[in-house]
Amino acid sequence: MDLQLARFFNSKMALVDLSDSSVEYIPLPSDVFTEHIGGMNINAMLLSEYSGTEPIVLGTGPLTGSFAPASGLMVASFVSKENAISHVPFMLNSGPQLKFSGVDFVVIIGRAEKPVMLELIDNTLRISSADNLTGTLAEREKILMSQGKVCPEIALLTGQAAESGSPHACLSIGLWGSLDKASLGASLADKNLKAITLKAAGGIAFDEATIEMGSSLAKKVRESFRKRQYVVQDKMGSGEGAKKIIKKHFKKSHACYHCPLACMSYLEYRQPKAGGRGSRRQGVFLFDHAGFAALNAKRPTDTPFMLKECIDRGLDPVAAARYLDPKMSAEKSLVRILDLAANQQDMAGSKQPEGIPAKSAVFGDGIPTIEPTGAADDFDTWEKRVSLAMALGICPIFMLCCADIVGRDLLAFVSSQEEHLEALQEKLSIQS
Amino acid sequence: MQEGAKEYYSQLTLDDIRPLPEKQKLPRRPPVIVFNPSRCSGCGTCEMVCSNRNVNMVAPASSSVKVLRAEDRGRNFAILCLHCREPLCMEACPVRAIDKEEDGIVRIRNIFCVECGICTLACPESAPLIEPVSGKVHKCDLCDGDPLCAKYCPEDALHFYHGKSLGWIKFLRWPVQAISFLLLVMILVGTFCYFTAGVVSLPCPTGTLQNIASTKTLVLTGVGAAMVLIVLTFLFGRIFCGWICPFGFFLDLVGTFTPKFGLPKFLKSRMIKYGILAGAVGGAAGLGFQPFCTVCPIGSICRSYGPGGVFKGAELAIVPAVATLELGQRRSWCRYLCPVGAVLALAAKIGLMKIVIGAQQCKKFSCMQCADICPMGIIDREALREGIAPAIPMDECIMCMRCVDKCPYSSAKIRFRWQKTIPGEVKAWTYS
Repeated sequence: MDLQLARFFNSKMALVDLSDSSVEYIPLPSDVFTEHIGGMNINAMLLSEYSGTEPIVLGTGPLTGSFAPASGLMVASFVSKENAISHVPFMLNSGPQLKFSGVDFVVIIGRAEKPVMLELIDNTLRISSADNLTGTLAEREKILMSQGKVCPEIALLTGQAAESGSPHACLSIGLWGSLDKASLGASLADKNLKAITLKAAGGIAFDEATIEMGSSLAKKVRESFRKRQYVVQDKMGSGEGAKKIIKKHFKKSHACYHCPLACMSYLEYRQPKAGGRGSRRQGVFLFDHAGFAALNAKRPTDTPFMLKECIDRGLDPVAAARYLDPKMSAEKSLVRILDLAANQQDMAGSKQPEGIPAKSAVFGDGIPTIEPTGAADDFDTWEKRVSLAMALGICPIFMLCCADIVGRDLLAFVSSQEEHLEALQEKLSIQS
Repeated sequence: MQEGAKEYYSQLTLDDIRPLPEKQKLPRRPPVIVFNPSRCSGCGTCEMVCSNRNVNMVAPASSSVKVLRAEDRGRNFAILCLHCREPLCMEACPVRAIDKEEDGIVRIRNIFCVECGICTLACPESAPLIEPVSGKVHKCDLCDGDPLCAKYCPEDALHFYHGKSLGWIKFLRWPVQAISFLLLVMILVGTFCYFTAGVVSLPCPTGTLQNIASTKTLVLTGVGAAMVLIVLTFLFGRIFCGWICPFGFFLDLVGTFTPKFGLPKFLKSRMIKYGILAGAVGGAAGLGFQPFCTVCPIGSICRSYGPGGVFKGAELAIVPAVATLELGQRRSWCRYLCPVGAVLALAAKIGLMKIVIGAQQCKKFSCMQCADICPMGIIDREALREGIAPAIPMDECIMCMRCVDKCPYSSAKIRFRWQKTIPGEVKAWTYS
C-alpha cells in the first residue's frame, strides 16, 4: 500500500564527502518512505548503506516542520566508538531548517584534511574552512555571525572538548546545549568537521486542514501544564532541589519549533567578574534536562553556572558531573571542567550515572527518563514513544511529557484515511 | 517619435504615472498587532501560518513575520509591520508599489513591485522581508483584517486588536476648563490671585512669594493657604495648568485657531520662567510691591470681567499680547515664561504622579501621535524615532492627558511615581 509519505519530503538526500569536499544530491524513491517512514529508521537504513565510510546521517521525519505539535526534530545517527548505533535528537528549529533547505537527509562521509564546516545556507550546501572557529561556543557563534553575509538559523557546534579529543565532547545547538551524550561531537571532530549551519529558504506544502488539528492539540497540552518550567524535572523525579534552583533563576520559558509545551527555561544568575569586583548577569538555557539534573545532584548551588561552563566548552554536563565534588569550591570545579574539556580523559567504560538507563543509549543518552504513565495506546512505554517520535520527526521529550497525546493523534497529521492509519500504526509498532 | 513628444515624455516623472496617494485620515480604530515579548516562547507558529498564507507552504523564509532569538539574553523578538501612520516604506518605494489604504493597512501591490528591496532599508523595523532565493518581498497585510499569526499564537504573544475608538478625557477636560474659566473670571470676581469664600482663602503661590518678599512679613495662614495649590500639584501634577487655569483655557482656545510659525531660539528655554519667578520675587523685595502681579496675564484675565473690568485697557492689553505667542508654539507662555507654572513645576517634579509612554503596545516611530498632540512639547520625538520609550519630565507636564486620550494603542498611561516605568519594555535588539 502506498502511504503517500513522499509528499512530506523533498525526496532528496545530500551525500557530503569531506575527503574531497564533494557534495552530491541523490533522489530518494518514494518506496523508501513507505518502507521506513522516516527519521531514525531511514537514518539507520542510510547508515547501513554507507557503512565502511564512517557515515554520520542527519535526517528528518514526515512530520518534521509540519503543523503537528513539537515538529522540530532532526535526528543525527552515527556509529559510536563502542560500535553501537546512536540516534541523537536535535530540536529547536534544526529539523525544519534542514527539511526546508531542500534535502531531507544529509550523509556525511570521509574526513577533511583541515578543519571545515558544513553550511546549508539558502538551499545550497557547501563546505568551507573553519580554521578561525575557535574559543568558547559563544565566541564561535559570534565568529559565525560576523563572517557571513547571512546569519544561520541553526548552528550545530563542537567546542574545545571535541578539539582536544575528549570522548565526552558533544555537538551543541548554539548556546542551548545538547542531548548528545553519545560523543557525536567527538565523531565530528574525527572527521575534522567543526560546525554545521542551517538556514532554509524553501518550504514544504502541508495539508492546511491540519492547522486546526495542531492548534487544538496545542490547546490541550497548554491546559494540562500550568508551570511548564518544572514539567520535565518534575517528571524525571529530580526532587525539590532542582525545582528550587529553577524557581530561583527562572527568567523565561522557551519552546522549540511549534511546541506548545515550552519546557525549556532561561535561567539567569550573577557571575562574579574576574578580579572579584562586582558581578555581571549571565544566563543559560535549560535545554539539556538530564545534564541539569546530573549537575544539580553534585553542585546544587551553582548548577546554572556549571551548566553554562560545560555548554560553552562543548562538554557533556552528565560526564562533567561525575568529576565534580559538592564540597569543591566553584573555582576548583570550573578548573576541573576546563581540564575535562582540554584533556583527553577517556571515561569510556566508567559507570553510567544514576538515572540514565541502558535503554536510552541508542537515543544518545540525553532524552530524559520519563515513564509515560497513563499513555492509552500501543505506544505506552518509554522506548515505544521515543521510537515513534524519532521516526515521525516529533520531539521525544514532548511525547514523554504529554502522555495524553496518543500515537493516533500524530498519525492523523500524516493521513486521514483509516487504512493508512492502521498500516502506519502497525509499521511503527513493529519498528519500535 | 516627433521631437516635441520626445521632450514631453522625457519630462514625465513617476508622479505623473502613479502619484503618491494623498494623506488619508487614519481610521478611528487603527488595526494593530501587539507583540508581547515576555509571552513569546519563540516556537515560530506565527511564521508557519503566515508563510502558509503567503506561498501555500510552510516556509519560514517566506513569512511576513520573523521571530528572532537573542540567545545571549534569553529573549525573543518579533519583526512585523506596524502599519505606520506615515509609512516610510511607502515614500521610499521608487515604483509606488506600496499603498496605505482606508482600513489603515499598508500593502505591497505585487504587480507593481520590482523587488528592489528599498522598502526594507527605509523601514525602521525592517518589516518588509525579502525571500532569500526568489528575492520576492513580503510584508504583513494583517491577513486583510484577521491575522493568522495572532489567531494561532499558542502563547497569545501576538494580540490583534483595533485601537481604542474614543478618547473621552477631552470631553471631560473642555467642560472643566470652561467651568473653571466661568467661575474664576466671571462668577467669582477677582479670584485666583486671592480667592476668599467664607473662611477659605486660596492665594496664588507666586503672588504669595512676592507678597512675602515685598512686605518682609511671613503670615503663616497665608503661606498655608498658598500651599493648597502646591499640595494639589504634588498629588496630581500640574493639573491646575491643564484643567483649571483660565488663561490656559484661553490659550487653548486661541491655539486651536491660530497657525504656528515657531519661536525665536532665545525664547525657547524652559529656564526663562524660573528667571522670571526669581526676578518677580527679587523685584518685589526691592520695590516694595508685587511687580509681576500687575502684568500677570492670569490675574489680568481674572480681573477683566465685571464693573470697570473691561475698561482696564492697559492691563487687559496684556492678555492678547501674551496670546500672540500662540502664533509661535502652543502654550508658549506656559512652556517658557509663566512663573506660576514655575512654582508648580517644582512641586510636580517631586510629585506622586507620572505619565509613562512606551508600554509594549506603543508603536513609537510609526505613530508619534502623543508627540504631535502634547501642548507642552515634552514628548521626545527622537527617542520615539529610535524606538525608545521617552521619559516625560513631570515638572513640564501640565497633566492635560491629551497623550493618554489620543494614543490609539493605550500605551500612554498615568502611573504613580514608584510604579514600574514601562511594563515589560524590551529595548531594540538586533540579531547580528
